[in-house]
Amino acid sequence: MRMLTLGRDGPAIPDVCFGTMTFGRQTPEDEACRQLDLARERGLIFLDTAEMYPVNPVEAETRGLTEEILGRWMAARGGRGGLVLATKVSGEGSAVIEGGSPMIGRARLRSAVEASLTRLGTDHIDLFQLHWPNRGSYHFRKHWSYRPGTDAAGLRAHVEEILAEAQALIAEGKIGRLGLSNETAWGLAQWIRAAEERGLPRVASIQNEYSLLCRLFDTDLAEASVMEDVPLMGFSPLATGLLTGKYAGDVTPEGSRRARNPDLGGRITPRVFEAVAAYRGLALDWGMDPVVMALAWFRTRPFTAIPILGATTLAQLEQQLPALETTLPEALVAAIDQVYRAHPLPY
Amino acid sequence: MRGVVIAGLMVAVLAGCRIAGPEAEAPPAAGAITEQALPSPAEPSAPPETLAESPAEPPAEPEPEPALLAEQRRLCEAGGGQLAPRGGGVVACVRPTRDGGQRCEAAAECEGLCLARSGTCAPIAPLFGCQEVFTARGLRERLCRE
Repeated sequence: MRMLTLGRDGPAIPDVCFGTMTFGRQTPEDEACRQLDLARERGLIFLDTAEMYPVNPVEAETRGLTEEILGRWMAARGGRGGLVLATKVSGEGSAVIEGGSPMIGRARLRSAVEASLTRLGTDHIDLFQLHWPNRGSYHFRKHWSYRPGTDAAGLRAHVEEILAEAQALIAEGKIGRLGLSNETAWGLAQWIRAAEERGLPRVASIQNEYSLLCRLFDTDLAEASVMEDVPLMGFSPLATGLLTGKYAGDVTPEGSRRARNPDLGGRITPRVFEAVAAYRGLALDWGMDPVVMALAWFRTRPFTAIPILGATTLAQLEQQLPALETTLPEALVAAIDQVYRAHPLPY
Repeated sequence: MRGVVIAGLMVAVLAGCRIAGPEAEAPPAAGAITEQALPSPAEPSAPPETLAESPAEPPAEPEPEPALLAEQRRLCEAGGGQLAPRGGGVVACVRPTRDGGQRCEAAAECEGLCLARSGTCAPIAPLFGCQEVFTARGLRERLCRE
């Protein structure tokens, strides 16, 4: 693994993050602890969670359970030393927050930080992310019918309010830095501009979906990421399991995410299985596990792209670990580019 | 806090410690995104050569740091600290503690605060805002410092 810095002056992080969103739902707590132990042993010390986890499905009754499991695990292992913790405040409209989660404002940001600190049993969150923008976005398949909003002034006022509160939370030692998620290129630019013009903290990351099958980040967002020095944390790097091949032939294994979410959030489309077969075939031609190829590919991107690994079972995590030390040959990267041209954006 | 220097662009106020109950929350910020019609396509922009003929603005000189602040920065850094913005134009000298992250059960065990959620000594001092701490007697309380 390559080591990076969180933000411009933050803690060192590996170029792979470990996601936890199934802990407490599809992944029982004892299994989650075994995964966390293995991850830490292998240097996966950058952990990502959210106040609304676990999934799937997200339910009010279980909201916060994943953070609590992380907190109990850290307490049982002698504390959070050496770990870098990232979590998120839910955006507007989530039914898991009593009364429906409100728009993210100053008070909501602060109360969410306090609640996450309590559940995690810690006094410091390294990266506190806005799970999705107040104004909505085109992610989660909304790009098929995206209609941009027009309230630029409202967004700028919101950005300044949140950054000012984040600055106070940083000064209080409660968070290290702020991060974005499910953002757009224009949105990211507004956050950076406000920080620089007002002397407020810069956002340290942007967490959007990214994988061989979902490459919306590759153009305008990639440019914004490089120019503004804001790395991508890519969620669903295995395309919610599609790239493992377990759904090949349009099957639905028992206990899988698809058993709970039949179209995988709009990712099952007429073209997706052909694309999956092409990438898997390519990996096998090179004698490589398709899972490892899909994850190691992140290191070949012309911007900093940190995959967020996720696993329901310990065996699934073990299968992904070789990617930590894998570098793809240039010829394989070129071949991946050809598959992409033949099977562009299947969803 | 021992050895703490507070400096400010504005007059910094250290109001001291107080034990407080949970803070009241302001109502969530208003803001709504309503369904909007797509804007009309923009007019073509002017040819680039028109813009290229304009002389470039010289880069603005950064404003020098006020003397008082510069002196406070020097003193803070000489003591191993760093000036950190606290919002509202106020900065504070914050320095790392020698026992940050060590286990603690009471305030006396730490150079700074003994943070209760994690049961560890605070990594920096001072810490502002409201914190869950263990007091000198090992009681868990909410401590607020402004």
